[in-house]
Amino acid sequence: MKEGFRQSMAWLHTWSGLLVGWILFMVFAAGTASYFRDEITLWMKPELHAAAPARVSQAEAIDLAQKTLEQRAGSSRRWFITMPSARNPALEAGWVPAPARGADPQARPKRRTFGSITLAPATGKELGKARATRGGDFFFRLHFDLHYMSALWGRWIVGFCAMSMLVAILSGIVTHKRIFKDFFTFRPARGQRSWLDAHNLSAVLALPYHLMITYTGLVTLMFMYLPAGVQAVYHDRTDAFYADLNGGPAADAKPSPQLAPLAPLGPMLDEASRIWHGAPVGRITVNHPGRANASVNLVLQEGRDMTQHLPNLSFDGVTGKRMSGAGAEGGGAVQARGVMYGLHVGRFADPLLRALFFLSGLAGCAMVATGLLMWAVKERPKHLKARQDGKVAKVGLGLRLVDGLNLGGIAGLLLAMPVLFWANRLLPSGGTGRADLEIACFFTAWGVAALAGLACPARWMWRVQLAIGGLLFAALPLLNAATGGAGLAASLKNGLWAVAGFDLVSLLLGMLLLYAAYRLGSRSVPRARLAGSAA
Amino acid sequence: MHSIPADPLPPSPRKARPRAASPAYRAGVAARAIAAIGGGYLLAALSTRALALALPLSPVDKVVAATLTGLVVYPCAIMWCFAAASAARAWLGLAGACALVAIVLLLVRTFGGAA
Amino acid sequence: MNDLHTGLHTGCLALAALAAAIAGFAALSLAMDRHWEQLHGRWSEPAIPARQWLRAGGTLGLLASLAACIALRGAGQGWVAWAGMLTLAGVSLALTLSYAARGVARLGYGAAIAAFVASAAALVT
Repeated sequence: MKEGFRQSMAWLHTWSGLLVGWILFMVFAAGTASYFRDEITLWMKPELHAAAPARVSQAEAIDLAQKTLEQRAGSSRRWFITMPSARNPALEAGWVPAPARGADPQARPKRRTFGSITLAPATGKELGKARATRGGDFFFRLHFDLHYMSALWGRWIVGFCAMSMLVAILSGIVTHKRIFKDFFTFRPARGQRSWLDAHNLSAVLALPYHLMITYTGLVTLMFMYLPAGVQAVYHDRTDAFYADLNGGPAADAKPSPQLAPLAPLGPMLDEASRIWHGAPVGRITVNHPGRANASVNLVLQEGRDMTQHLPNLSFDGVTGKRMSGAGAEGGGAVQARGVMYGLHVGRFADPLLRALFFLSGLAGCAMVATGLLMWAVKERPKHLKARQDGKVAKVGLGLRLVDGLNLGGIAGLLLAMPVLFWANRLLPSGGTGRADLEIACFFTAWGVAALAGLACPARWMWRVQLAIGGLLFAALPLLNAATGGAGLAASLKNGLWAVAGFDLVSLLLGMLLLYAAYRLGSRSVPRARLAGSAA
Repeated sequence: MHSIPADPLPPSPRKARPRAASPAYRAGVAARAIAAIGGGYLLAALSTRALALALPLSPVDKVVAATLTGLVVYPCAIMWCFAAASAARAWLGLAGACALVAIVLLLVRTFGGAA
Repeated sequence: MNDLHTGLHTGCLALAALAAAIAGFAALSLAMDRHWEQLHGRWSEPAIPARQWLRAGGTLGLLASLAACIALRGAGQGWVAWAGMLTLAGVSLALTLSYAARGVARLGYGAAIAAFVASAAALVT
């Protein structure tokens, strides 16, 4: 029975992994990139590279933001302010535009109509209408919302894949008999065995991470996936549930008809930082500025704590007095969820931890990719044998499809990612719909690569796509300097680590891909090959 | 079952089951998959609901703890469906588990659950 | 100057954590027949006391790494950092064993020394 159990889990592992593998690879790749989404966004806005880290005090920054918002968005219902930080040196201020006269004041504005402005905190200058781009947020959203479909659909699809992944991980653990014996085992250049070793290594050596990231990923959207709990206790009052969960005042209150000037925000931030033992404030939301029931919610700057359930403080907008509790609230379960959410998003991570997470994320990409490729490598001998026995004339549809999807899904994606960055710099910086155009370039490149891969899933196609991807990645530092960004020399000199890091990682990644393309050419052909078909 | 060998040594000889690609085999896989995906979700939802009502915690904590647990119930149910000796067993086991949880849920509802 | 100070301290602790993990894994890998054979020829295996020492030493190295990580980032994040360090160390060992197996013992010793030096440096900065 034990053998039967292991074997059935092996079967389950194969299929729960294979059927969703290509989507999972994209989720892992985009998710891993998202660890650096602020940095990516900064790189994609070369106009902002001049806002090099001039250290400005919290008080100066908030005064600047308040003045600007009172000028620009005095009648708005809500302001959002993001304070400058090490990851993003600019000061961001956003607002919900005041509803048009006659329009329903309770109507929720569509996401696209938020107003926003980016300021250099030191000079107060509006940072040169940085080009419109989704930046790193594109990859962040891509890895759970997908694209070109409603977010709801995207989340359900990714959720299904994530659950399948969890099943694959758990069944993989059960199936891997020699998990300790093979802990360090990697036997290169042995065909199928090498692929298995690579898959095992990338999976086992970062196993806690893989388990964590998959489960916590499901946790971030768990109330959507499993609403039964919320429904049982709160029935229809989901707003009340979220208010309890997030510990803040319900943000949907009607604006009071009475006008009242907004108290200066500076002292509120000072008091918050005092309560938080000197820690800086990260994000500020002002509800109904200029009205009698204005309220100000301050959230601790990310990076200090592991939980996503960041401490927040609320202040009365008119009197400036503190309103609610000082710390993160909620019992054990809520806090546990907060920690899990925080672990997944990883925004707490300082450079060291983020680098380790990034490495583990890359291991995850390797795990998925080697798994997909290994399936094809294992299937091919069976087809070879069948062909030799005269049973079939050519490669089965399943294997050919998997070969094509592997090529398009892995090499194609790795080719499309730098295309996004090239489009960012080469497309004209003005004009409407620019952000969407960049993204369209990404998907077009991916689509072409995928079609090419499905049409000719051969080794040379792998080499071509990997080489193109490698060249595009490796040339990004040059492109950066040539198109108005801070080149490596400048960014390293001025301590603009975000941009320098992007350039260096791109260079490394490009060289890695080029090396892979090179190795694919010089390696001897593994024994079982189907002549004239996939390599 | 289609045997993918679990260890990296040369593949062991296939079990002498001719069912590998027969319609019966495919039907079995499909039956298990439906039980796993659909039935498993049902079990997860039912357990979440039961726990959310039964746990002696504050309302928001109850919901969070229950949903976190439900997320674990689902993959376990899926694995059970494929580990069971036959597709019929998979369905029976899952149905039994759902029935059990449904009864618990009924009891909790009737007797008010924990405060 | 203060920034440089903290930076050095952090760097030393991080290095100590990584080096200790590498040393620990090197010892643990040599306690396994398969990897001992890579160094000493087929069919050889470590004598029982040697295996015990290797295992004990290896475990000690990993625990030292954990201690360094907790010193670096506190209790919660320390464990997370440790998991990441173990991944990095594990990959290093696996690659060394595949491509430069003869050097594993030297790697282990070197890493152990580096760990000691780095922790000492961390204590003074």
